[in-house]
Amino acid sequence: MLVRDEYVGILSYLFGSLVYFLTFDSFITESFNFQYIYYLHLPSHLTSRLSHTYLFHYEFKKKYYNNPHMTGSGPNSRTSELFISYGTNPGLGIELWETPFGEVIEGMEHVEALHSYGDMVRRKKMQLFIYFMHLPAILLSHSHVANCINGSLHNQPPWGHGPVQPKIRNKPNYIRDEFPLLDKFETCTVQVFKPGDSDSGGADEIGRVSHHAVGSVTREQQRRAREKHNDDPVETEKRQSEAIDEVQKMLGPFENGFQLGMVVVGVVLFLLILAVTRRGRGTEKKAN
Amino acid sequence: MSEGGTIADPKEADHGIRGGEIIQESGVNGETALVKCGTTKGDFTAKFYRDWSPHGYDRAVTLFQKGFYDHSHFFRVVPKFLVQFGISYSDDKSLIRFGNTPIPDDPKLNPPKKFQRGIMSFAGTR
Repeated sequence: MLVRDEYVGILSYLFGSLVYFLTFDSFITESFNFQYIYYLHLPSHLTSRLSHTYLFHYEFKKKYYNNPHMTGSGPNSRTSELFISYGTNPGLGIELWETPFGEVIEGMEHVEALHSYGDMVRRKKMQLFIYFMHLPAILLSHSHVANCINGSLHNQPPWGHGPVQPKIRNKPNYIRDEFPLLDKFETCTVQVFKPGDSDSGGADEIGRVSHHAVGSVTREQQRRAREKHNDDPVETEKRQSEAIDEVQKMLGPFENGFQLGMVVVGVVLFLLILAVTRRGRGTEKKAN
Repeated sequence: MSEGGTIADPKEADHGIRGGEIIQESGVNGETALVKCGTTKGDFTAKFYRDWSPHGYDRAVTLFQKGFYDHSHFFRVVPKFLVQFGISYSDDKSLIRFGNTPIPDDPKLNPPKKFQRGIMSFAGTR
């Protein structure tokens, strides 16, 4: 089983158990996107362990929910938001909607020059949680890990200071006022090349809509998809408890360590949050 | 972004090979599209392949053609990871409605396409 192999040293174990905790946390709260884990550029033995955890997480959800991605958009959810990958990202391409449809063939250096405020701002609690997740690695001063983490605390996911989508959609001057440096599109032109056409390079007139029907999901289809994925609440609950049982079996010898780890992490996290929120209140008062 | 000059026929262009690696066997079966965009940091050109993801291709091409992305922000820029965009400021309500209608998922290519530098895809939206 994925979880059992490649057990490499105490650091890996510590980190691993914390990651399991995170896995379960995200599984339960549906609030954390795992692709970020890949982004830390950890040494290979850690990465392999993390990727196993990721796969485990993915398979788990796929098996028991018939829907590997519970935390985000779900099936048939692509609309209009696109992204361009900056590097090789093994964490991308797993989710249903992450199917590439094209690539930048020219001017990638301009795309890379776009101004960055870092990733989206995260809630304070989540930030604290993430900080804490990496505490063992920092304390053990595994220099590579520590460097990566220090480097990523402020401008990498999920610790950025960038804008969040709902506000862009709903607050008229949000970007102008708070993120004045963000870059934007000017205009675009499109040339469509159909395989049959041979003359003039097979190019359509610029701006002409191509002939084929553009796929879109009807409400009926969406409803059916939704029904397929969460049929009956009782059934779902049953599947969930079965799933948790099975995972505990799979964890096997690590189970105790894992649970102990969870308890310790929970307690320390609670104290940490308490301490920080208290201090936060204090400084607010001072500022006033 | 209104640069003169013609764009080479993709059948003869280098589109199949980039950085010494074969990315796509030339677009024999599938439709392709060249999308040239201006940004505040300079132009870029992207090539879309219908074979990679038919629904995704159709939606993206139509949105670019209709100017859905014009003057919109690159709101999520994370170095070494990705740049995300696609919240339109268009006044055309029917276009916005069209852009917000979900499309069906496409099957993954086999073997799956790796997310390398420059690869474009739809992002998950909540």
